[in-house]
Amino acid sequence: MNLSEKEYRYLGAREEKEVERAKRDSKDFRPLYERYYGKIFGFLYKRVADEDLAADLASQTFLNALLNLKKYEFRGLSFSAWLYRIAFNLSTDYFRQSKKERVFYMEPERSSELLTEVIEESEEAEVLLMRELKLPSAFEALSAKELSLVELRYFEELPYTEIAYVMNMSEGNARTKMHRILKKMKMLIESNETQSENTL
Amino acid sequence: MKPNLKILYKTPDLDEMAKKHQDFDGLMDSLATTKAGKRNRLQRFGSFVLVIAVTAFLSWLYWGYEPAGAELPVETRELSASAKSEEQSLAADTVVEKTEKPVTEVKPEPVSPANQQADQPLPDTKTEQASNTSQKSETDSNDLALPEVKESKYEFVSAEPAQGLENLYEYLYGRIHLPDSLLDQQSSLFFEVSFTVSAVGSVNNVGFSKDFPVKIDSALTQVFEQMPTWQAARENEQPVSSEVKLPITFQKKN
Repeated sequence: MNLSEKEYRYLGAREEKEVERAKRDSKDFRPLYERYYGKIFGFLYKRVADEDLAADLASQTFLNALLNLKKYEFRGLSFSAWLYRIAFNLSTDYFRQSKKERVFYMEPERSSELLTEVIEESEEAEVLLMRELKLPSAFEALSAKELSLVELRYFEELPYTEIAYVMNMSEGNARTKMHRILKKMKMLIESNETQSENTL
Repeated sequence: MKPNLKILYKTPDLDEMAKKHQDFDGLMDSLATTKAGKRNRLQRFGSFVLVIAVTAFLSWLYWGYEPAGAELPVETRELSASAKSEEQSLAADTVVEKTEKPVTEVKPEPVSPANQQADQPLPDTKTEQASNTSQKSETDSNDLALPEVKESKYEFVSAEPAQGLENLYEYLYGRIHLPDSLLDQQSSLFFEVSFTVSAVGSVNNVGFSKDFPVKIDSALTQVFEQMPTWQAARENEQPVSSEVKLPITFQKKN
């Protein structure tokens, strides 16, 4: 569920109080932990596709958050943005060290939402279906950073402000990059189509 | 850099999985272990520094420290001087030069202020009484000051929906419907609803902002009165009633 900007700020201000309480006593971290464990676990699982590894990384994320909670400063963003940033960095480090396969979960309902951004709305249903089938090849052509941007925006449904914070870039930069990625994906899908037409 | 990518389509039940691994107490244990580990490292470093310092102090005492004669009482100094002369006479057959050296004379030193204090006559009863009263007043003021140090700590935790804010908004948006015509000109409309959350968590005194777009009737008020339960605000850990202003935004679909 997407909250409006005001509701988002309202939620953020409430969380700020919870964080302040948790800074005084780590036992007060429980509400934040219970609220965001599922999200962070899901985010990590979709990157590693290994239940135990995702649980380990999620625990490490929350432990790092607790150990560094005194350094946390409220910047008008949801607390989850900070957790996503820790989890994102932990998983990136994991892939860098282990050189294991990066997993990308293409949930059907989310990928169709992405497809509507990539192609024109006036396309026929058959064309839409054809293009949806070509999405995986477009994903494979993206870089790790581009893939993470798509993942955070369309599959984790984070706002651009949070994406920018998680990936350590400016909001404007995140928007521009996303625009270019969608354009790139569109080109990849279309070129794939012309190639297949020529072979036929 | 292109990642070594594997695309999967069917996501398992992540909620169920997350519930299985969610363990806050375990997190607290690992936090305690990590902190203890850090503390141990600090303690080890601290004890190492302490050992070095003690060793340095002892070696300084042994090699470099000589008690100054002035600090010793006169009798002890005389004794030590005679002992020294005895020692010198014992060694006379071996070292002749030493006997020729005169034994250092012990001169009475000027009385230091500390000694002077000790040598002073006892104060007369009047001054004693005066000092007693000053001491007494000092202890009295100490007695008065001690219990006043207690700090009164004020803490206020505002009321919040028991099932979370997102659930609350989901409930409200499911029940309040805005006429489409109102959103023709703007993409979103923002309003505030105020109400009181009592000490037991019930909602009453629902008030809408003047420009609230939906017809205000008992049904609408009921939507708010029957909304998911709230946790009352707490003042110094005691539940109290409080006024809540809830922002509501209607957004145009698509």
